[in-house]
Amino acid sequence: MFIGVPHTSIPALEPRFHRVGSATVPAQAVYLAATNKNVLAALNPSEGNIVWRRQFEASDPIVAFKANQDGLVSLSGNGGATVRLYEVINGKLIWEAHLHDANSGRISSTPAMAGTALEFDTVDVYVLSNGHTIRRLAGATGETLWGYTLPDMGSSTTLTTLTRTQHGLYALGLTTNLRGYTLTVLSFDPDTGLLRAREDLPSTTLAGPQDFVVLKQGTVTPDGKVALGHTAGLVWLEDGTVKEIFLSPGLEGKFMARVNVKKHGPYTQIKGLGVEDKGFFLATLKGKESEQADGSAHIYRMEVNGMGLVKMTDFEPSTDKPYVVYSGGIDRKGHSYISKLAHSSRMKVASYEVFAPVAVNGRGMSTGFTFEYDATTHGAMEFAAIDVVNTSEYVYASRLIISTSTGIIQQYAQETHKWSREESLTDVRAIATVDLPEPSVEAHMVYGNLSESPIERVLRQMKELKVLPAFLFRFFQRFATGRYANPSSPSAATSNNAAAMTSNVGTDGLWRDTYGLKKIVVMATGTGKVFGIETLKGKVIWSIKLGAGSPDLSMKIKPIRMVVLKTASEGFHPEVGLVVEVEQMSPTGEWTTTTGMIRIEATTGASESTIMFRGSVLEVVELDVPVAYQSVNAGIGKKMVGMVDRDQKMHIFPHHEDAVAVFNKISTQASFVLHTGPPTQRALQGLKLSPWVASEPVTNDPNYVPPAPHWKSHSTWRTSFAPGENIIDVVRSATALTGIPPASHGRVLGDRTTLYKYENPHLIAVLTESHVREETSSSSPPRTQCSVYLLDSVKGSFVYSTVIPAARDSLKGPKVAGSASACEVKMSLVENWFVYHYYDDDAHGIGARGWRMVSVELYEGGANVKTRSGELAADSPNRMEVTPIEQTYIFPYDVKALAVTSTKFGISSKDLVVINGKNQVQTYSRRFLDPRRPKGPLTAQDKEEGLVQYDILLPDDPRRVASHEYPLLADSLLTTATQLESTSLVLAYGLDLFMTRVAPSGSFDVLSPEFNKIQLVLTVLGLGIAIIITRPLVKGKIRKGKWYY
Amino acid sequence: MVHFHVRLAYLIGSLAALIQAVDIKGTIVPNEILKDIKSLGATKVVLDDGRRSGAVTRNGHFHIPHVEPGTYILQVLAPQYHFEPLRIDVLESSDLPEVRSYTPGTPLDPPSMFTLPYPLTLQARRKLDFFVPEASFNILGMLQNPMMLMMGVTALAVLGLPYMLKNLDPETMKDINESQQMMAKMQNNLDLSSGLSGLLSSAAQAAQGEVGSGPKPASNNKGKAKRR
Repeated sequence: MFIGVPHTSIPALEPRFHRVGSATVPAQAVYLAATNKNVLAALNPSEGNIVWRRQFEASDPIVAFKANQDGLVSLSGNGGATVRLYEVINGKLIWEAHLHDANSGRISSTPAMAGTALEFDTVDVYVLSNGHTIRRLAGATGETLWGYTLPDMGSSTTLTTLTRTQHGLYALGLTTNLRGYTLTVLSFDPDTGLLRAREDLPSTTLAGPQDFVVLKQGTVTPDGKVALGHTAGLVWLEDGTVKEIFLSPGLEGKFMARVNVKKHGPYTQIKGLGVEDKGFFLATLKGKESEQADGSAHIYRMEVNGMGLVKMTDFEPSTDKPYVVYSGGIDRKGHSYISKLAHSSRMKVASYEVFAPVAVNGRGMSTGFTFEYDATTHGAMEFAAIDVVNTSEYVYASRLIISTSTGIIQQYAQETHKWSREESLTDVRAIATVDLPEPSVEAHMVYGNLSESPIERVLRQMKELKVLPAFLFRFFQRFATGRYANPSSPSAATSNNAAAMTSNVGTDGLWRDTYGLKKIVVMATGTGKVFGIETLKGKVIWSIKLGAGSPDLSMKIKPIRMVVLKTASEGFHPEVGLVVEVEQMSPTGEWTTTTGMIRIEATTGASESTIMFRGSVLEVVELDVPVAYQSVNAGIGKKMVGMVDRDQKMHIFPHHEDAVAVFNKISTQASFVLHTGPPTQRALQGLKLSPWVASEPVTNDPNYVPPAPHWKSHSTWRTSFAPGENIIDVVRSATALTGIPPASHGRVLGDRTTLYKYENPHLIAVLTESHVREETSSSSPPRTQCSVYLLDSVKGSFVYSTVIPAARDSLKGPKVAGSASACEVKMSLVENWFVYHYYDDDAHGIGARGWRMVSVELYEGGANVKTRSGELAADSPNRMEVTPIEQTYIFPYDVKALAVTSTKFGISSKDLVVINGKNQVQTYSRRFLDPRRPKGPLTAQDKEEGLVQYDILLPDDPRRVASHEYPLLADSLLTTATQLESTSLVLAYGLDLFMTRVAPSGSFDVLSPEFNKIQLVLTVLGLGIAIIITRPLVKGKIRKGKWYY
Repeated sequence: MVHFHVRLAYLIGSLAALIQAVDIKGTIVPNEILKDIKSLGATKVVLDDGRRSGAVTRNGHFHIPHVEPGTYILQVLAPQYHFEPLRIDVLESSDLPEVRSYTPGTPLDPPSMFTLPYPLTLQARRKLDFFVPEASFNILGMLQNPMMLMMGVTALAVLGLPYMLKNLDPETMKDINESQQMMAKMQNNLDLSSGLSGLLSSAAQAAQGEVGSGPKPASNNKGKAKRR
């Protein structure tokens, strides 16, 4: 369970500690965060577990949240369309209020100018939305008590902040003018919403909304309710100095205080840090030597009466630690603290300094410590929240929760590290699964480079005899109770074996288990971390930060594609290759992009990187090397990776001499597909490689470096979509990706004829969106239309195409902010089976309205027509002879991801795996998705073929929900095969990581989990006892019988 | 042309929608299946493809805002409970939507004659059962197996019948023997008069007849008696 990487750059969304209860009642603390996955979550700050979480719709992004006592208010949607009140302790929704239609909401380019704010009254909530509307909502029901809209709605004034004090409610905003922004202040009567005064401060010039902070000072507690601020003041940064005015209900106070610039400053930033409600703020200074801040800052406090600013203390510059994070915190008693965290990219230590203004009778005191922090694995710190406890006089204990650039959330209690959450696992960009090597003795010998003489072997085996009783015990235990559904038993025995063998080798038992269910999933995340996760228990075995060797923490590494370079069968260290784009700031201050290849050992995480070329990569192609050319010694495995640069040239990896020689032999077979054309008219283009001629230029230059080998390509085909037809999605055939060939080439029907499958691993499914006008009337507005095509990627010819209605027509209904496309079609393609899912709103009222699942099977022709499509050359004319059979079903839910199970040999039927709209992983049997299901009653032949009568509704069987009752937030699926033909592993990722196994045709190659071993054992025992008892009886009878004869 | 008119009507409808949009409100009420609303989990109520939705609060209330006139299918997406979908018609003339029950997979027209009250009150119809009950070891269950029952009856007959016969009256025993002999005779007669197959096999029987298969049951009885 994950929550996502918290937003830290926008003050309204910054994570924060929140304490429920007062100074007298035992408090319960939570750490609230809004994340990039649009999740609002509460973590337990001492353990790091999720207390609760809520995922918002993609069209409903969280823009602000604020907690007060036991309530948490969230504001979400464009311009703050929806307000929700939650119980802060358990996340239960109390009410939901919709302020305006989300698609008429204001969309701001800068999040700070979103024009949304939340403020609490004693019970009620004030909400600012769309930059000009203020409402007071009743805390109990969410009803609007009053509302106010700024009259000049289209004007240049945008309100951004709300502040409530005992005397009034103030709204602050910015008015744009030519030089920048000027401040605008409005004062309201909080009970009626009456505008008391409006004051524009035309003389002020601000760079942006981040340059002003509203301070509050003192608290007033009206009859035991929630405290309100006593006075409020406004501070802003202007020309390097800080100015302040006092806010009064009539806005008549023109008193302005300013900081002496000559004495202090110039300042570059002012920050409230969450302690602005206590009258504090922090102003950072310009560095002495360079333009950039060097970590020195001053802390100011507003006077109790709101008149004037007092400098409390300053943080010294820290030149050796350039990464600085400031944070503020409020303790249980309501005292404020401001801290500074600093670390460098090299030294594995971070320093922490906290200033307690109340200490020493209000003169303030700083304490601090240093703790171990490794920036090469966790990246730069980006945010910290502090929670300080004043245990005794002069003793201030802190706990910090930090967020870093790699997406980890870590908690430190003083200098000890308590917990970490790797939230970057919610942002998987590239993924691959690898098998582990088998735990045979030979493997151990090779793995551990062991060589032993016969005597040594006998001695070792004697030693191992001592584990024999344990082994026997385990064996019988397994015999009696072990089952397939519970993998720990068989693997325990294996790992026991392996442990005995590996104890002197020093590996950690990373061996394949009996059924091959234990694998390693390598995931590369958007924050530049790579994880190796073992599939049986889901444990992270290793993690590395890409670019860890570089001192430059600002370098961005974007994973593009992961390819399995070496499998366990080719050597004991399976390897994956990760294609990355590296964005780096050059000394001249420009961002440059380089494409590189990182080889990662899947069992240990050891990595080695190679720079391929400058610029970004257009496409990554996996090339199969024929067996004849593979050689372990020359370092040429089953796969080569081709990367296409902007000039449509292909670079290969590995690219040493032998590999280049091999590649020259196979380069003519390589083909790939690119998206080309201007953004409005994208086209698909098929390309082939031109043979590379390695010509050595004649040169005497000793510094001459021959260019890295690359191959030019030429275009072979180009799709002709209609003008304005936009490519939304391209899905490759799962057969090509997994490399599992079809187990059968045809389908035998009830009358003993065969339908031969159309086998073409180069098939791709393309989804396009276009706007069409009806022929009859050119005046009617264009309609969105989605098209699905199946395309032969070698030849560029269409195999199948269909037009489906757009689920979200651009003319009606709100647009989804997250997805630009109106075509929400999910597709999956394997062998000759193509499934897609879409919503049919039945605009013409002909059929039923709902989600549709269409199943298409491609055959070479009618019964017994065989063109051997799998073996045909790409340019054969027969390749185009395809007969699709399709049928449409009504699907009960929305679908977030579609996948098809994959098994070792592809013999088991292929079930459809979906993540449905209820956040469950569910499987659907291929039998029900069969496009040959007869519409009429079943005939004997149909029955023989195993067909089920057609029913437009797909059965929704809750027993096929693999995720059971666990709520699962994920949007992608990956299926892999195991050593058991019956079983396929399914990994759901996106936010949570969920791994399960499914047996599409039933677990026919292992005993079913229902198989009752005890019953079998007892029955055998019972029969045995019966024989023992009856044998003497029978013998006696025979003897007696003999006596008579 | 028809399409165009439909589209035009829709356009007018959507223009009107800007003027008049209805909020759909309702409550999920507890029943014997869903006893406590708190156990519902994160649930939302969606219209059509989920473009319009409302979250269910801790009291079971939900609220879908700004619904334009038109026909919608309302679904409750609860992870552990099943709810019946409803058809909602938002009218341009009224702020009270029409509510009808809806069977998935059926055409929208003609609509059902019966309308349901508004605001909506929804009840869980079924708790979803994700688990296949695992077969556990059960001696009684094992014995209840029909094969086991048959075996038991046979065993009883084999073991019990001789004792039963022994304990019977000699007279009844005689009666039984007589009736058995009668039966055997009748069977023999039936065999002879059983048509073609009987005629065909009669030759073979005649050949074997000398060996004396005739009153077989009697000899059997004799044998039994001897053994005892």
